[in-house]
Amino acid sequence: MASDEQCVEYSTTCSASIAADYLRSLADRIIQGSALLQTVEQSVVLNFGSTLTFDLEAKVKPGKGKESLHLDISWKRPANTLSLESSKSAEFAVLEPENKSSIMSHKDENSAPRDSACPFLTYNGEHIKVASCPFLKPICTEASHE
Amino acid sequence: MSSKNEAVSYSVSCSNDQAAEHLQTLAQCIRKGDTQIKVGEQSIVLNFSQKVDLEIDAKVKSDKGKGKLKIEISYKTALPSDDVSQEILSLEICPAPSEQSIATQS
Repeated sequence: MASDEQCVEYSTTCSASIAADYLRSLADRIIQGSALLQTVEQSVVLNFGSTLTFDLEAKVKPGKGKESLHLDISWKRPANTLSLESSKSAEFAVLEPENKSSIMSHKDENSAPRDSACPFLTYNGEHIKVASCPFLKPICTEASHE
Repeated sequence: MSSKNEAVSYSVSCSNDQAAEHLQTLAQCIRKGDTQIKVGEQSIVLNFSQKVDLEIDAKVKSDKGKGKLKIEISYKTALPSDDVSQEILSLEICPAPSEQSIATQS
């Protein structure tokens, strides 16, 4: 029996702004629920579930002068198990290096911004705001929260 | 100067809107050129080069309703910022055809 698996693989060297545009386009499609990824030879329709697993890994190798950002987005449909993790005081931040001091650590959910679809990661034009996210599940954290 | 390899990772289960906003935020950071990613007590600073390697790997198992999209953005930090030509991706991301139209075509 034939496997019902479709895949698209693509790699290129491009400007960072093109890569950023790609992420932005992908974000738009995720909101809409589906996307068609198409190369010259392959295409695949992505029907995103209502709940996604979002994995991020950032690596820096100073000795080799290399840095990388890995994103894994996975889903399973029908996604009728909207079970957002409720880990306690995980913190996640994406911000400009010079704004390290402006990290906001919201321990209180009530103090997190409410007007964003993603209250733990918002951008106000100056820097990335950081809030404690009850959904986050850090998997590479040595330090333990007290 | 530290030459130690560093890595930070996290995993989150979230809604479409949250994942989308996550991507939009990362896109803004990539455009700005640098960002700090902090998970718990660990943090890492990425200084995006103007020229990056972009790898995309999408897999869908329609019969199981499962899908996975991998995106890797890597770069050499020492690359000069000049000689970056605006390229056009030959990978399109478009609205998916409705299920009805797929059924009609088949």
